Amino acid sequence: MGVIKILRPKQDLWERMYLPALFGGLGITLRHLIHTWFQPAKRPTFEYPEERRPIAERFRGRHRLRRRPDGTPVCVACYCCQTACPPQCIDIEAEESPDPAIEKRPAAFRINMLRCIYCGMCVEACPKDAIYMTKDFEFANDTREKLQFGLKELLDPRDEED
Amino acid sequence: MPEWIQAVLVSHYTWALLALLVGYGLTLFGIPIYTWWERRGAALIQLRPGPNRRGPYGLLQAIADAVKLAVKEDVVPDGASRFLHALAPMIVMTVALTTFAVIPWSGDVELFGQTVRLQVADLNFGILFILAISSMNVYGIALAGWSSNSKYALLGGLRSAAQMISYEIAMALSLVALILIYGTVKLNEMVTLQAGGLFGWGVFKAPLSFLLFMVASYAETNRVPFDLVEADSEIVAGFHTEYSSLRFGLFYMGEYVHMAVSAALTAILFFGGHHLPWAYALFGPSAYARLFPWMMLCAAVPLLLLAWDVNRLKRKRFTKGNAIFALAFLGLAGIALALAFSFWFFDVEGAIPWLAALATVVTQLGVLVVKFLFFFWLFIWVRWTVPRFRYDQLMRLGWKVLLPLAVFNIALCAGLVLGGWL
Repeated sequence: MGVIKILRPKQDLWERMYLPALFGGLGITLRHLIHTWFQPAKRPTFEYPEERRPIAERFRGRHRLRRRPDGTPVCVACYCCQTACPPQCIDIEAEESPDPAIEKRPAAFRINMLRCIYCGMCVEACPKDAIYMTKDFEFANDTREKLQFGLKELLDPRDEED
Repeated sequence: MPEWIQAVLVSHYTWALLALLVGYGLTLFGIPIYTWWERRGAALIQLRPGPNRRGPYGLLQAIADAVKLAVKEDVVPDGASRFLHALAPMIVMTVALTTFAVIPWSGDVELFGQTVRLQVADLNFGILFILAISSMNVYGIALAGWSSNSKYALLGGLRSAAQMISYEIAMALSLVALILIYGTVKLNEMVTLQAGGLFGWGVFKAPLSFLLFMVASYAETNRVPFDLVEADSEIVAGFHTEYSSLRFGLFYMGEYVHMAVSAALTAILFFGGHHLPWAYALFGPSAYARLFPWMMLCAAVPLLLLAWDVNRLKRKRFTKGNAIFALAFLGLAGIALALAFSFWFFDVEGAIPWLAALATVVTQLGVLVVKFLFFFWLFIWVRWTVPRFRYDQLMRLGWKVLLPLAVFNIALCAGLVLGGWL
């Protein structure tokens, strides 16, 4: 009738005194303590700033925008990434490019890094392979404004040009 | 030596003040160390390093925590009884600190023909004073729960009232057996009676009493496995849910002071207080003055190890500070070694009897502090070993197990004392 009968194992006097189990437990915790103290290398923890966990090959961190050889962004401001973005954290303003071979270029390219879910849809949507994701995840800051990344933060640094 | 210095040295007030310094040193000034100790112990038991950034081994972590706590906003909830809300943490802290008054930190020593002892107040109802004052703690916690205008706090306060009253009975009854055996309620006389061999210690005379006292004192201090008062999985933080800033800090410190009192009491009642087993039989009447250099040596070795280890710390954090700490450890070790050797190669006992008397006090204090630290560590150790009791289990244990056992223990001890076996 919907009643679940829980069978509890009968405890003998030794078990019901609790004290042997208590001392056993104290022994276990003491063993853990001694092992952790004397064998720091075997700890499962990483001491983060000095030691780092290995980052996966496909890790998705902060975004970067590729540059052309002349330094201008590869992005053609097609809004594909902005359309694909699930949390709608990308905001692009387009303008006409002075280069007759290129139709448009981004006047502004903003990503709200606080809203971004790092899904990588923008990278997949980009027809020009202009946006990619790095393995950098350490860009915490103390105000929200500083985490609204614009072209300045997103464009590849000049010395990393390929 | 001028007369007035002698007068000051043998004055009761001087020794009360010194005992006060020792008591506060072990509680108020010890709390930063204890919180670090608890967190490091917890971490190591759980296979992680714990706070190890601020200062060597993370020793300065507690200071960072204290500063953070002090600069927080002090929130009084809407609808709270402001007066009682402010009063409750004061009661908890005052009660906790007051009980330290009757703890004897050393035995009687002869100083310029007078007998002095490191104890704030030698009350002739010593142990009863501790029971009476520490049971006032429940007022602080229950008031905190009631005045906060919060259901979680109220539940915590109610639980604490029920729990502390239940376990107080078992605690007091377990001590009755001990009083029967010792025939006194003065703590310093109890310690004196344990001065002989190892088997004169209370724990061997009344093991059941010890067990009951330990369980009850864990419940009295609201520590795991009896921390239902602040069971965070059920009632947020219990009675101190609505406390912030330094008022919360007072509760937090009060808990540690309570633990310190319990640890000191356990050492004094059951483990011979400031006595080492067979010390007088082995080293004669001035045993502790003779053991002084050995104790200093025992203190110097870990200090030297620390001074060496601090410099060796692999990751060079806080490098300048580490050097300072290493120097401090080295300096303390140097002082300890110098004292040890001066006592070895110079007949202090014959030449300067008052210095030997002071050495006796320091040695006995050292012995007691070591025992105290062990029982303090036991609190931390048990906390990270045993899970929390369910509320009905707690009440069943208190009323149906501990209380009958305590009554049985009294009968047993009374019979043994009457028969002359104890």
